[in-house]
Amino acid sequence: MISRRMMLRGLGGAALALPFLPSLEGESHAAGSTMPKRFVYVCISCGDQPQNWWPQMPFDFSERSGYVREAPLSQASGQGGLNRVLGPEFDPFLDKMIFLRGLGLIGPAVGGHNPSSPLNGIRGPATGPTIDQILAYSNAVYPTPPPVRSLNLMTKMGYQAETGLSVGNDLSTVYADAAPSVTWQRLFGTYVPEDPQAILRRDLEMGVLDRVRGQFDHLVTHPRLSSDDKNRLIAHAELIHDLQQRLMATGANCSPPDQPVDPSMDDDIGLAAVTDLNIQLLTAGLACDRTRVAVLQLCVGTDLRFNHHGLSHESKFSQDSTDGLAAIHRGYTQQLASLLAALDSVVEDPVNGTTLLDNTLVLFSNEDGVAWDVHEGGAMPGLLAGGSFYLKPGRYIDYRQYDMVNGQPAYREFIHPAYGPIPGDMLDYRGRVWNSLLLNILEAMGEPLPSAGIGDLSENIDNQFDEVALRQPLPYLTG
Amino acid sequence: MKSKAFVVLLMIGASGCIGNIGDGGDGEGDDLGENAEGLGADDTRRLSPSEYIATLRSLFGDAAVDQVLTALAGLPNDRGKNEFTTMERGITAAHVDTYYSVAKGIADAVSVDPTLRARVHPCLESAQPDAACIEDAVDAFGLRAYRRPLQDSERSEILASFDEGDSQLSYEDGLALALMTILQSPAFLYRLELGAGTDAVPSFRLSAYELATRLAYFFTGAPPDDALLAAAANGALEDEAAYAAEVERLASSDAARDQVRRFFTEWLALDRVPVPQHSATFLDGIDPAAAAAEMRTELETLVEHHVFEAGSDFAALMSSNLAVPGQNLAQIYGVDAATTATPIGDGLRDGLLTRAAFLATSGEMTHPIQRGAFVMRAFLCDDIEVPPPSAELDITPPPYDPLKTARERWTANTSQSKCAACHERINAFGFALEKYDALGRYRALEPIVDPSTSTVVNELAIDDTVEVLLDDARVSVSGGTGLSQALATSASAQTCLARKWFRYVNGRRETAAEIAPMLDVAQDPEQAIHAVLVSVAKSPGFRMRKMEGGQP
Repeated sequence: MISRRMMLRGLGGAALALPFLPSLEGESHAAGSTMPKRFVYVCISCGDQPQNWWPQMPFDFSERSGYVREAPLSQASGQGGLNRVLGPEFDPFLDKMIFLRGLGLIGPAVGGHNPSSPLNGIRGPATGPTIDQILAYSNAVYPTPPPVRSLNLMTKMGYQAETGLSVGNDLSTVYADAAPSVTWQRLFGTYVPEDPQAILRRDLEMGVLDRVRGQFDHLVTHPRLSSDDKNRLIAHAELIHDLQQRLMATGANCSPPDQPVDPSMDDDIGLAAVTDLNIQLLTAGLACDRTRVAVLQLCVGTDLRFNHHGLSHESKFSQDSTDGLAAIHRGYTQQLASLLAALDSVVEDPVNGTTLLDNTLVLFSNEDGVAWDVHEGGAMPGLLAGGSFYLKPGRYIDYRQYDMVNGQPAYREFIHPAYGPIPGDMLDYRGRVWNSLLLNILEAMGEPLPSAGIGDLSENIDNQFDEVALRQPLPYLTG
Repeated sequence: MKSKAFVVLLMIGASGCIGNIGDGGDGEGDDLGENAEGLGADDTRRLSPSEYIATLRSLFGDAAVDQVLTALAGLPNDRGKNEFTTMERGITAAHVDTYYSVAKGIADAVSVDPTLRARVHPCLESAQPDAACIEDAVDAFGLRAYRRPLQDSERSEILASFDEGDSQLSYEDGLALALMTILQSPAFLYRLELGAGTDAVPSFRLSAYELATRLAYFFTGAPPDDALLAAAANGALEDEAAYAAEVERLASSDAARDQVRRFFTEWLALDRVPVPQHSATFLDGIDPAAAAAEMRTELETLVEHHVFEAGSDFAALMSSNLAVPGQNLAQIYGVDAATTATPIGDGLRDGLLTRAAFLATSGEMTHPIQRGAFVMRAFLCDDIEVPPPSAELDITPPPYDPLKTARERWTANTSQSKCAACHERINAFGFALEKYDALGRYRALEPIVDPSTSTVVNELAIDDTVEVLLDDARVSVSGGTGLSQALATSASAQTCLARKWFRYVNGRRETAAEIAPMLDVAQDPEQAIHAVLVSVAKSPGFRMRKMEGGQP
């Protein structure tokens, strides 16, 4: 793991600790210039138990208005970890993180695994795009087309991976790259160095693509093509035009890394190595400004390795299973810590010490929620990191609704669509909707907010959530 | 061995129903007019992933294509929620980006290698070819790449790309740019079927080159070879005898075996055989990744044997006791390992549905509902779907009960009125397979595992006798062997296989008129699969196209 101290030693020389990362000799961006904002979503699967995810140590909460309480995350420093899953490896980043509680997805009582739901606010089949794809095509994120609009990285296709995590604006599934070598190809395969011959060759290739687009334009005039055929061919030509713009995008000035050799994906050691490579490629891709949006899946779809999926269900009945679940999740969150360290090791502005992590809003969550039955979505795990351009970090923010009873918060019960009333001290579903957090992320990245909110907000049973707040960003994330 | 029939396939139906070649219809030229009645509508197809790769290999050879495998891995698999990859019609940025990367990679690799250049055209092997060579090469290679002669504008554009690169950079760059122009053209990437005319008619006869292309991709999943292109050029495909000879040649080729193998892979979901994620105790020494690979190999080998070597009929395939037990599969079946199709004589594996590829699940518990739904969708063409969230049904698995078998728990879980309508049909197909565990091992008793302790707390007798709804009748079957035999003689199953093949090669669903001629053939047990393939291509309807939406 790259420590903050190693990052500080790199200041001024932009020397990077990870050997695989590209050389950024000389700043990739001019000192003092506005750095691009990035967004990265990191996830694991199979939900979690409350005793694993919610911190057990005491915090000194102060009240904000509107049932919001917050406490400094620094109180978790030196305590052996924030919870049973986020261990002491996160201590160096407590001042760059926000731990969230009291956010949930509303909607029908849909079981199963919902990999896209934390990104589109919809439990069940994806009827709306995920925010990574909204941002991938946002003019605010990309005033001009980038080399790569978004990355989708995973370890290996798995049990339900084909249901997709990333959903396009046309509701099509955006598939993850099959292997690190494929990711490298997408990120750096079209990189054109500052060489006259290479630039001329690229320009001539633009001429080729112009001719090809001309062929499509001519073809759609043929009288024996249906309107659907013509629309698809027109779409193809438009995608070629988008490709041309992205090929002309230069990104930041950096030397790309060498193409990696894919590890074996047949065993657990190989898959851990895949994640290591994914982290390095993701960091390089962001640092070289080849892309600004990414999704990183740390485990294999609905993870069946280590009996992860089995334990997540058995944890309803068994402390041993709950402990086993915590151990598996701890293994994955250590990879998350590696990602944060990698991002934080890239100094983007030597003058003020701003790092790539500071310029990247990272969200960590799970395809399912924190509940006795891990197929629920009423209480979602949420951890934010970086994003100093928007977040005021270093806090534990609790959005659960409560009434003060004898000076202590008594959390309100939740009317579950399937199970009826659930006490607030059993499962903390009665807070704010997760969907509002998605609006914060859009807002942070400069994307205009949809006035009607985002995702599925239709099942507000008994108006347990304020109808106005449902469609607004969360308060207090920025300060 | 006397060839027996195997009902399969179908493409467009037999003669008589959908018009005859040579009829001019109500319009002039190639317009079909009312002769297109009953013909299914076709929209323009992009090369499927396997067709795209096969076309590249045909044009450039394996040595060139193997240099762009990483780029090719970026191509979406087009499977998604489609029944078959050939049904995907959409185009995404991932497709276009991959087409560019692959075109560039191959073009750059070929342009600097004299041997690879020579494969494009012999005169290109030279490092200093003259203008006549370049023009000859563009025409000859363009014919193979576009599956028809180049239009003047296309030739001019390709030559313009070459000239720009040659004059401003190098001959190699010029050649690469010319190849990139060809490989990203709609004429290359799409199987354009526009007929010979240019009038706006909704249905028409295919041109000779379009017919050659359809024959080639239908039978081999690859582009027309030089012989087929020559037949298109000299009008031979208009002659019934010559057409039949080409059909026979293609259908008997090695490439045809690959095409049928790809079909069976997608039809039977062999590309989705799960890698068992079981505990070491449950696996009992079985290597899960190797076992999954052996399951796929077994089915591929059995298809090869039954379809091409033995000329089996549908009943023989479905009731087959042949297995190909690799080291791990042999342990699952309780037999000696073998690398070729070998009969299992213990009576427990009489039938295709008793093969581990159809039985294995990722978890240690069987899932009879998933197994049952698979049988219905794959073998009976029943498009049964998971209920949507709007149905407000609890579709979670039944709770643990140490005193009940999976059949008893699932029956109780699916008995409420909203569920029963579908599950009365689904459950029986899955319950018939309950004597095969989550790896496909045979078991007389079901071990009941307490999930909180992962220990076996009970063993219960399994009842695998069921009543399934087949051919509109209730049929009593017992076990996987009984179910396999019932499907073997089921008219619905025989015609379903035909439908599946039609959908795979056509990339669309059949119409009632198209499938009707196939029903008699499908229910005739004496029809060999090979003969059905051949007869389909001889159908007049095969040589026509009706546009989607019925109008331009």
